[in-house]
Amino acid sequence: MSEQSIEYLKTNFGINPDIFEELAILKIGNEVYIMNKDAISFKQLKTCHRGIKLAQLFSHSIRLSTGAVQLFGKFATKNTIQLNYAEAIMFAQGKEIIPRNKPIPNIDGLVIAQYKQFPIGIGNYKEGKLKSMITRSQVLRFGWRKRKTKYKGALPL
Amino acid sequence: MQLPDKFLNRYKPIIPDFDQFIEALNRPLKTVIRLNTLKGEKEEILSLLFDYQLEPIPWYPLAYRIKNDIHIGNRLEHFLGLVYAQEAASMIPPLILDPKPQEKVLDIAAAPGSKTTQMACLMKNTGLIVANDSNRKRIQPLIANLDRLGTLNVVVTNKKGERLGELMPKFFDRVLVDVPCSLEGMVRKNTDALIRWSESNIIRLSMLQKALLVSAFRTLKPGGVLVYSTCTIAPEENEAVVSFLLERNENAQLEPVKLPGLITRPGLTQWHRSRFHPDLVKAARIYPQDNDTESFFIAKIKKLNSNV
Repeated sequence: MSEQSIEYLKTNFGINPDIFEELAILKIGNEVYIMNKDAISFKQLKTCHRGIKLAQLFSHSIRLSTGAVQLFGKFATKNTIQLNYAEAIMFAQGKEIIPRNKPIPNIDGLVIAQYKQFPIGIGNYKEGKLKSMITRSQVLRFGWRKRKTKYKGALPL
Repeated sequence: MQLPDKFLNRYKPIIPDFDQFIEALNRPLKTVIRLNTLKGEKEEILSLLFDYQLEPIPWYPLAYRIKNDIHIGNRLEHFLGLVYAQEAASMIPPLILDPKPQEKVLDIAAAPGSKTTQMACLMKNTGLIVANDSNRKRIQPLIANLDRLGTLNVVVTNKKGERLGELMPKFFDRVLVDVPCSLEGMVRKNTDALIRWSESNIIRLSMLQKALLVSAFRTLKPGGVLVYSTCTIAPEENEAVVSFLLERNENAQLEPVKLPGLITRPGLTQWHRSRFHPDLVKAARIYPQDNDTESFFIAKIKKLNSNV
């Protein structure tokens, strides 16, 4: 059942399953994780997490994790779209954009959005618009600032 | 507000160039980033940082100090997991531990994962890192960082570090013991670090640190290497803890802490009325006036045979 995700990557994005040969897949409930073989064979202690999340399985679909797309998306040979910097930022923020480029091949459906050689995440391309499918909890947020301090005064010189 | 007098009086006799030390504490600490080579090559990542004014960290080719005002958490390259904001001194313990591909490594107090992800880079995502943290609330941020940086060789456990020695004796090739501490060394980054400062807290922490170090040493294979580190200046949390281990384990041997380009000061062999193991001069004290970092303490310990 876990191989479903690898098959999905091959069918939808042309990612050669051979790149996963040295890795292992672990299915926990409807979530699929990917890791190296040492990590999956570790049995000495109860673990909270192994490797990274690869995908979430639904009854009729699979949602790839953004982390996995960013790591393995560079091996995609089809259904990718190249974004410019401004588009990449908006896509990472979870927005819908009208990208300047078209996907390769130019058909509607799920695509891996890339900025230069770096995959950003999965988007749904339809009629010239690209909807970011990055989950709300993971999107790029502005407004991060350095931590404020409660310690007001200067230190002694 | 000033640094507590008790704090100043306590450390003036042991910190070299004390005036420069205080002066360095007053200088703002610039953000330092580490390039994550699990997700891209160094030159590829650097090509994205076109508007950064970067100053290389002399002792780590993947680390750079940002000289202009950039909020790294708002940036695409951070979202992509290509860079990780990490204080320069905090990058030293993994470099001293020097984990190799295919080895088994324990990070006994891993959250939020700065050093774990750095070690995954050094190991090229091979072998095994057991990233343990006893605090359940800190596990989720740890996992989020592992996912963002793309670590495939890490398992996360939520055990009391003090128990790992009995649960996994002689299992690991290398162990990182970066323990919870009184955070004195972080005052440049976070001046709140001294709000709850007290000597009684230092004593309480040193007991936990001794238990963690003894447990960690038990998990180490003969011939294995352990690095003990803190971001504090207190000798009770540093030399006293390492001395405690050395005095009880003949097969524990201190090794010198050296990185080309890094200025270090030797560990102490005495403090007030306590005398520490003479080999502690091989440990390293890192001060802000020397490398423009936070303060850190690092000791490298080798396990010589299988008597423990």
